[in-house]
Amino acid sequence: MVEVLSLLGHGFAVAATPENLLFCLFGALIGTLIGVLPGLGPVATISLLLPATFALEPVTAIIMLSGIFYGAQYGGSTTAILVNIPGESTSVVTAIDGYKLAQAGRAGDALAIAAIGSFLAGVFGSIVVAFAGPSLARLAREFQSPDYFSLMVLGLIAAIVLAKGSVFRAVAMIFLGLLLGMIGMDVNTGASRMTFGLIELSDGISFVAIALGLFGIAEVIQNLEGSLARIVNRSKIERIWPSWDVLKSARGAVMRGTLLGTVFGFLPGGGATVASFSAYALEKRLAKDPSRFGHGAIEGVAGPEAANNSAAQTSFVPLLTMGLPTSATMALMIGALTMHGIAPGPMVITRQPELFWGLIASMFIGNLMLIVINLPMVGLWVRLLAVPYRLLFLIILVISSIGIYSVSNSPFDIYLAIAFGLLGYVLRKLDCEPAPLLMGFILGPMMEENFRRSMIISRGDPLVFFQRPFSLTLILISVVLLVTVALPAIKRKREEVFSEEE
Amino acid sequence: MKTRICKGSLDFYSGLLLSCIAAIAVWFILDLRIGTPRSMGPGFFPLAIAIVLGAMGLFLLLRGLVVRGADAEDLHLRPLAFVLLSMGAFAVLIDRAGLIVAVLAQIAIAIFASRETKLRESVIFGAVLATFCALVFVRLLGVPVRVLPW
Repeated sequence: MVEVLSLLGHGFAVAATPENLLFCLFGALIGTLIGVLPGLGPVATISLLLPATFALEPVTAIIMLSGIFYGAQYGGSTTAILVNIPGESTSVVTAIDGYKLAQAGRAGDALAIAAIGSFLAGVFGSIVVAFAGPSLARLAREFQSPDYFSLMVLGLIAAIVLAKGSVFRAVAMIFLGLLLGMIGMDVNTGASRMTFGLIELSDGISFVAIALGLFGIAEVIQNLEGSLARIVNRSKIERIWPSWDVLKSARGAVMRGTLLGTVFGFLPGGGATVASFSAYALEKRLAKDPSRFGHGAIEGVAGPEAANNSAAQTSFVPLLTMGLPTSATMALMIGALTMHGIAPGPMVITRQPELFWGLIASMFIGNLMLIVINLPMVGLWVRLLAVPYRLLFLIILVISSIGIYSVSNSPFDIYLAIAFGLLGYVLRKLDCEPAPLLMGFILGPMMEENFRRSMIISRGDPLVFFQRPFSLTLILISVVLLVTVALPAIKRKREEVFSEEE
Repeated sequence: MKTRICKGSLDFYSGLLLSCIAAIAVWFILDLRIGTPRSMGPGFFPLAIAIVLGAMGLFLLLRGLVVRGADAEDLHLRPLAFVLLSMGAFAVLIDRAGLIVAVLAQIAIAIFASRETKLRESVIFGAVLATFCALVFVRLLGVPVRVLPW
């Protein structure tokens, strides 16, 4: 306890340097911005800004990138409430009751509760990360190659849970991602694999190019299909500070949402989106009068908003302590850390204490910044929605091109991104989700390395994965998860949840 | 009226795409040493993955032929072509003609991707965006690229 506090103090010293504060603010601002703007998600934005973080210290880079991630959770709720456009998938349920509240002239209440709930949940989530992180890392230090392989399997199964649509297709997308991840030089023998004779591919496919192609560019093409006109309904914001009664009625929902989100963030396949849907369902079930939901119940805003933000914080725990990403955004964080020469895993806490504790401390600071950015400045963000998409998509395309180019200062990666933009668009049309593909792509090389090492240790006996207790447990969890997702009853429920999202 | 070769075109086309990718991969992997589980070569893991992918692709393809299922949505060729072309123009021009020309060319092509483009607005916006990019990326962030063609 005392130890954690002193380490956290050390973290605050790291996070409070002028440079780190500045980039934390940048991250929070950019996060809010993309949260507000629909059609530009955290995955595309983080991959876009990765090249720009090369020049920064690893701590600073990761502080900014995570600021973007949790900042997007705040920004997404603002437009969900005011104009019924959820900027992020995590605030889809917020729009249901939040927009009704805004129509009833209570936009201020809804915005304030969303921001305060997010803030409290974010702080609580960060505290949990600080305390749970070191003990989980101690556990993970015992992990050997077979355990890591099974952990990767679990991570990939998680990607299936998160994907909407058919489980079979999601599994196929994972395999496609794994295969694409194999392209490039083989680490053990130096043989170049599936490079089609292109020297540029010998280091593998640049993951900025693949992420921006699949998410950024394919999404732009899809958005341009239909009509771009958006109805911006300006509801007036009377006052931004809610009355005591409103605070009191939302108190329980914020607490329940926070706890729920904290737990969901840890779980592979949990993540912020599922957490917010579950929190909404929970509030509706617990309410004395469930019929109020859908007609402007403040609990329907408070619960999900708290849940998505605490889940956003705690999803960093599996990443930093075990190297296990629980979502596509977290998989990008792995890529970001690797680019800065840091292998995510149990060693991060002991070898890079300034990174781990600095990041946690920055989460407290960032959440505080976000409440300031979001509440008094809410009018500014809403005005941004007036930027028409016919101009916005040009900005996205130009900045993407420059961003991809600057990774290696060669146009080759742009050609790759074009190919993946095409692939991503076609896959979307074929009802195949790109997120599991990206997870497979990033986890693939690590998975292969651990698989090969395990096979050397066991002299080619695949039973090694069932003989070690850690590995066996992880495999069992994966099987249970996979079976659960495939069960007809759960499948129907899952379709319900995702169809609400459409 | 379109002629139907399959009952569920969504499954059929996804299967076709996946099995083609898997086949290409296998073709290239067979050049590598495969090895045995006990001493794996560089081709072992990719081959295993490509085979599973190919099998899944074939399953979808056959299911699309036999079982009545959902149809694939049409591709919208206009945004697809102009967006990708605009990226291509940027890639071709960036090293040859510098950032400003590359950005302007990209915008000049990309505006055709949207039916709602207004010409005069786009011209002004393109000029502003190109200047902004030159200032931010080259001056501020120090991306090593020529700004002007000369």
